[in-house]
Amino acid sequence: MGERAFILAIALGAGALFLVAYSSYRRRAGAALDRLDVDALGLELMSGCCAFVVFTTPTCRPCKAVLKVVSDAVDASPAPTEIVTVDAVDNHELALHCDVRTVPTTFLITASGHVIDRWRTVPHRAEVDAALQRL
Amino acid sequence: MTSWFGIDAGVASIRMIDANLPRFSQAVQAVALAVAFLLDARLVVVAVGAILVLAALGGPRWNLLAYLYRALPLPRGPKEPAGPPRFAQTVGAVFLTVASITLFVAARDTAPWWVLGWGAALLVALLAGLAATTSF
Repeated sequence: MGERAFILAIALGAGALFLVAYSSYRRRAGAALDRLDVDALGLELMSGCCAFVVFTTPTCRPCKAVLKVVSDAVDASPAPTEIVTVDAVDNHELALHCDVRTVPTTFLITASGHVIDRWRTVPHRAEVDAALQRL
Repeated sequence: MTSWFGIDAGVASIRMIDANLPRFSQAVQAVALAVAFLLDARLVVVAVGAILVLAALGGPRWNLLAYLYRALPLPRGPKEPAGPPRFAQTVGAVFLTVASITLFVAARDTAPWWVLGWGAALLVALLAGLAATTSF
């Protein structure tokens, strides 16, 4: 039992270490880009409006889950928010410019392109709601 | 919904589940597997594995942890897509099947018994713990 407790403690430590490393990676990756080029996206948002920009590909199944979460959040939110899907294959240059390395990648931006938040996986509804609150 | 670049979303077909259900299920798995490892309770690994295999093969109707979750007075969460947690659950089922078989077939205290048996079970416990406590 003693050695098993030791192994378990090591596993817990490894998990905690991974969490710290992953969250700092996410913070640094997030800091790399704080503005999207609204003109390149072809967005003409009204002032005060914001948008979810979802980078996707035709065969991306998790992207549908992202769009479901995001559209549910938009329906429940009082802020007028648009949802824009961008095919990362057809718009390769734009995806590179936005530092999109995987689909789904989702940005929440203001009308001027300022990035409020981003997700590289399927976000939880609570995270999306929290991001909309920060607008 | 506005689509500037023309991708048919097909959003309506996404199955949704209570977001707290996978969190609860993963927490139960992590704690049960960690305790099983501490106490050398191999049958617990088989039991958790069997629950995951049933849920993965039979779908939500055979998910025993979902019945437990609904029976307990726990706070209900927002809806989220069922796909990602279900995929994770299937991976867990495969790992725990390997672990269960190895723990009872391989000779005790040999390398495969430790690595493929308890190693796989602990990996599931670790990932389930991470998934339950963070949005990773």
